[in-house]
Amino acid sequence: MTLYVVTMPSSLFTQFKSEDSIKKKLSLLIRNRNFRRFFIQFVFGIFLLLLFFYVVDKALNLELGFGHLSSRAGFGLSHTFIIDYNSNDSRWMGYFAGVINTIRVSLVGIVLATILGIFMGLARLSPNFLINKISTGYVEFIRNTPLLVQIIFWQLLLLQLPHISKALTFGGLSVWSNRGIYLPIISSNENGSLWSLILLLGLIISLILRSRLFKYKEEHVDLFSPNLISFFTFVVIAIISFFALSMKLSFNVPEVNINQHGTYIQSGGFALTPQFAAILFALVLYTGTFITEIVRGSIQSLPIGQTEAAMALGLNTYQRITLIILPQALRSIIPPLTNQYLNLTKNSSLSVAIAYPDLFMVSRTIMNNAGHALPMFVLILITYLTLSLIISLIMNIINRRVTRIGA
Amino acid sequence: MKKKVSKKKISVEAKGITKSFGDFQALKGITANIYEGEVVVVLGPSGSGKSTFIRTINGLEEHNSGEITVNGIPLNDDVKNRDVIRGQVGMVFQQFNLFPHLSVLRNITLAPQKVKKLSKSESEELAMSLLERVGIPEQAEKYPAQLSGGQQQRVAIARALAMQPKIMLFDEPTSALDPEMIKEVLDVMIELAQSGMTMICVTHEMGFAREVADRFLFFDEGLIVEEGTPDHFFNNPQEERTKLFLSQIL
Ligand SMILES: Nc1ncnc2c1ncn2[C@@H]1O[C@H](COP(=O)(O)OP(=O)(O)OP(=O)(O)O)[C@@H](O)[C@H]1O
Ligand SMILES: [Mg+2]
Repeated sequence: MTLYVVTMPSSLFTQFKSEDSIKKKLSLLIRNRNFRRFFIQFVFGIFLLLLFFYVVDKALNLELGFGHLSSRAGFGLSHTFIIDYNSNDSRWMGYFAGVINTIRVSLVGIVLATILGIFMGLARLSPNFLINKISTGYVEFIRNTPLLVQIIFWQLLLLQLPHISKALTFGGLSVWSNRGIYLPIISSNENGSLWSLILLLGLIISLILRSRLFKYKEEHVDLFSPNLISFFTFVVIAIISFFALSMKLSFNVPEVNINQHGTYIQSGGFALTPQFAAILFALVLYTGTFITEIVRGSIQSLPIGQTEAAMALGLNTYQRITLIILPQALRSIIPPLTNQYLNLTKNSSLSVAIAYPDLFMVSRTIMNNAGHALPMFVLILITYLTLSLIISLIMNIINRRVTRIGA
Repeated sequence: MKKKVSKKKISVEAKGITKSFGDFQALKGITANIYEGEVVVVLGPSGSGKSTFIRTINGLEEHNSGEITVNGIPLNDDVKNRDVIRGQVGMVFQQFNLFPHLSVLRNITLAPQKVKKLSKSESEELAMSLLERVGIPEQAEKYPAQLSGGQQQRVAIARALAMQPKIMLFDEPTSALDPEMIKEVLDVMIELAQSGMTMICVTHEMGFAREVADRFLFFDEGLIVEEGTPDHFFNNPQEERTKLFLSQIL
């Protein structure tokens, strides 16, 4: 179906001018297909415009203003990420911190749910009994219970972890208590972020080098290993920059101590709070089931002959999946996968149930403090809409790349 | 024009192969030797187990009992053996099974590069020479969906040959083709047979069989009911079932 904005063809216009009687002119127009389409569209467009102005006019009377967002927030947030926020900042900043928290849980969630979904999807097709049944059980169990219940369940479960005084440490490597999960992490002195940036650059450089070398190798016989050379390049970059920045690295293992007042203090490590962990686990596991089914369905819809031809040619299981099956399945995976990404992002608003300060939760706080509920909701909706459109845009680009290969 | 078949060297040795799908026994004990350079045509009514038999030879179907040996290598649970055998046995399917997301050239060069570790230029040279051999070098850059059925099947043959197999299996390679395209595929197969390739073909193309087959195997209900030279089959078949079948297709 082609959609188009109807315009008047110029030939009709000349014909219209050449007719002499008004009556003929009119009947010429009324009988013309293009004119009819144009006319209906025109009337409908005017109607929509009037409706829009009417609504905006009424809404303005309801003070569709965001002025109050510039005043002092007056509330703190249990989680902030990337930006530093405190209660003396503006409400805008608080809202922005909430948006960052939404993006954080959605982004990590999308990545993890995709990995989980691909593995579980492949597992559902595995002839291995145990692997197959684990995957089936996972899907049937998680998919058939409500997400909100799961979120609260995970939080409850994480809060059931022992009190900090009896925290599980798994051999002293981490701290698992009802305050959260603290995992070991590598920490460094103040040049750490600069060094990570250099490492990232080094990684990109060595990956580019690797693909160049592989291209070169295709033309010439095996004289060297691109993998080894690019890895070596990365290591050299890492070592040189390490000493140039006089980096000090330490393995930061979380630990629990008792201070002089007899209270337990846990310190160090990478923290997963019960709230963040609960919403993340629930979103990943729940969305993962749908991705599992998408992956399975797309692979199953490929003709069995594709697998057989690949086997007959001697390709191994890994080559078969990565070179033959997934590239073809991807074409039918990506559109429904996009829907799942959108669902995950929108479902992150259920954070409000367990007090993880995502954008919806923060907005609720602002509304409780300052009122102006309607404009706040407009802002919330616009924010989710923007996030969704960004995801769709990125996925459309990927989709176009994937479907372009092959005829 | 027939070439000499050395009756000494056995390419495929099948001893008492059985295969069941659930309760249904598709192969009830197949014993056959295929010699190097031989062209064997497998005949029989639908459902008699022809496809199942040739698919056990490269392990696409796992046989339940019996022994299969390919070029002296037993097809058993040894993963390495299976890999080696698949590298030596090429297969052409009724439905072509080309990879639709890859160009014709890439369809042919993929396995040599990934399995045999040929360089890109080596494998492309090989692919182009095979496309010449099957008569469609000009189609190299196209995608499978842009080719006719006959052309697709010729690409499929080239793809199998690119692994430089010692044995080629054909499972009704012309049954999915429009009549006017059958000949172009058969011509390629005839050329291949005359070049000395060991071939096992499930086909009902009697013209082709008469021209190049060294031996026929006639299957019925999971057993080889009769075997012999084309002469024997066309002039002097022994079994009632063979006679009935031949009277229907000739
Ligand atoms: N994967 C399978 N599952 C169950 N039954 C099967 C399977 N493959 C084959 N069969 C059955 O085994 C029997 C032999 O099948 P096979 O495909 O070998 O016959 P065929 O001689 O090649 O017949 P055709 O000429 O129709 O191709 C048939 O009855 C078929 O229904
Ligand atoms: Mg068959």
